[in-house]
Amino acid sequence: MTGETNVRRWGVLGLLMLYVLRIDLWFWRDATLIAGIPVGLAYHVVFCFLASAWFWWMVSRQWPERLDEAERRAARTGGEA
Amino acid sequence: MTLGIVLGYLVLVLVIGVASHRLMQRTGEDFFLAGRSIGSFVLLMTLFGTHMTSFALLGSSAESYRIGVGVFTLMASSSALIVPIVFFYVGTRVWTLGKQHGFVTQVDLMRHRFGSDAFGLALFVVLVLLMIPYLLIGVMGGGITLTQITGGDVAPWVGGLLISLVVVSYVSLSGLRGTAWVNTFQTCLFMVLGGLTAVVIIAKLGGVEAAMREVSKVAPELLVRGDAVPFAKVVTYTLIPLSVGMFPHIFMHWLSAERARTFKAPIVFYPLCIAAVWVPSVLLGVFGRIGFPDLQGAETNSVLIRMIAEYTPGVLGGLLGAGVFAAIMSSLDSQSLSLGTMFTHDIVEHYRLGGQLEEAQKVRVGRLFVVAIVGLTFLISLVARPSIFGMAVWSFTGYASLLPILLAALFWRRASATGAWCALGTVVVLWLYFFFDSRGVPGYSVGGTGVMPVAVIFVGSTLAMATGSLLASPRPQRREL
Repeated sequence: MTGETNVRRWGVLGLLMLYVLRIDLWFWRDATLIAGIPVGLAYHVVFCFLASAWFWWMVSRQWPERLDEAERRAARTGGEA
Repeated sequence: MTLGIVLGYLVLVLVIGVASHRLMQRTGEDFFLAGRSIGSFVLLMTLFGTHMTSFALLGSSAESYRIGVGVFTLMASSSALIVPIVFFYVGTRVWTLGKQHGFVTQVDLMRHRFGSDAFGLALFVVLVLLMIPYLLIGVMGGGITLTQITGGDVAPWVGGLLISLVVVSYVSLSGLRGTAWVNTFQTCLFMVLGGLTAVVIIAKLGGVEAAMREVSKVAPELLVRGDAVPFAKVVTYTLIPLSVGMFPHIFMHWLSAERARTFKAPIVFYPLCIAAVWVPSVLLGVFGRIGFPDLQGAETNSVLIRMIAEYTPGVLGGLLGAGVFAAIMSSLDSQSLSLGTMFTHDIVEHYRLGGQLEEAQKVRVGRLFVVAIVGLTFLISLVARPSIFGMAVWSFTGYASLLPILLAALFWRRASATGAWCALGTVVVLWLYFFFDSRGVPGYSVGGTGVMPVAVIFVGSTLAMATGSLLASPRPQRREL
């Protein structure tokens, strides 16, 4: 259970970290262009990739056991979970 | 030629929708929930396509024309974070309960959970009323698109009517199965064509860097968030994407998933899909300041279409216009079908209006309601002239503020009908207050602080739910889920 609890904690911490990272005050008035795109936009595109990677980790490591159980039950009873 | 291409596209969509009618099993569950058989890729595409409306293309480009790249921070990256979280924690739970109890709608789930028929009816009314502006932006978007890409040759009402007729046809024939397949096709199309639009137009402007340098001369404020996007607004805007948890059409798609693991692809790939659609729209809105520097008010809704008409030749312009139609219809169909589902299941069947319904009759009632609601929306579109972005945000505000009721129903055993009533009443009163207080105030925020009304209403709804539930007698109002 300790391992599972740690994974859950990391999951929530990761989401909080993403929330904080999203508010990039350090680029708020910066008009620098990265490959022609304002840094304030480029940063958030990278953020989307980061979020996707984090969610991949979550569905791989934090997928609730009860959902797989619900599927198995549905398969046994012909559709009703 | 442009008009011909768009009409050809609409016929193609109709063919796909009608073809899937042959796969339909003519039961209520198949019409309203595709027999709960939707797989991963189709679920991702249909959820994303349903979620991305004319708001994501026309609204985002209009807003970036006005305030610059900050609109991506406000809506796109907040959605990229919040929407998958809602799918992960709420969507999967709703799916499981739908399988266990056979729920078809949100009202179904809430009635069962809180043991209150009256609450279910009140919630139905609020959900439907909040959907009207959301439907409206789709029909309006269709009108704007067709008028602009034909250089004004076609009146706005014609585009709105065409889009309404096509959507009503395939939705009423094929239900959710047809809707899901058409959405998958349309979502792929508007993602590809949206990217192509940006590449072609930006090339005509001399490349991204050259175009951005041009913008920095005429409107440098568009390149930064700065004062256009206050800190308080960014923080509180994060609550807006929570609306996805209470959208009737998203709820319907959740229930249609074949298995729980079907949710994995939507959760992982959603942020990338959002970036793929919003980046081109935001950039083109910003670049619109170069060619169309003097657009005001509702005119800005058409900046993306003006760019397409100005910079892309006939065939390409037609294809790109079809891409915008794809984005609009991929939401309009699910929204109207979800209302048809709710009316049939939560009102007609529940109250046995007309007696016990046969499966074919359920389908017929659902179809009639779809026709009625889209027809009504079209009539309203003939007179309404608001900002697409602004109207959508008010709809999202209402749905987001209702989410505490669903969260309490799913995860808090102490939640009761009293709490649900208190929360619903709080949302209605505060939403109306802030809506009327905001009239004539561009960039409205609570007391001019930058805080969005959604923050106040969401907190109010949460407190009301908690207080009402804690003060109420712990039984016999609630049932376990």
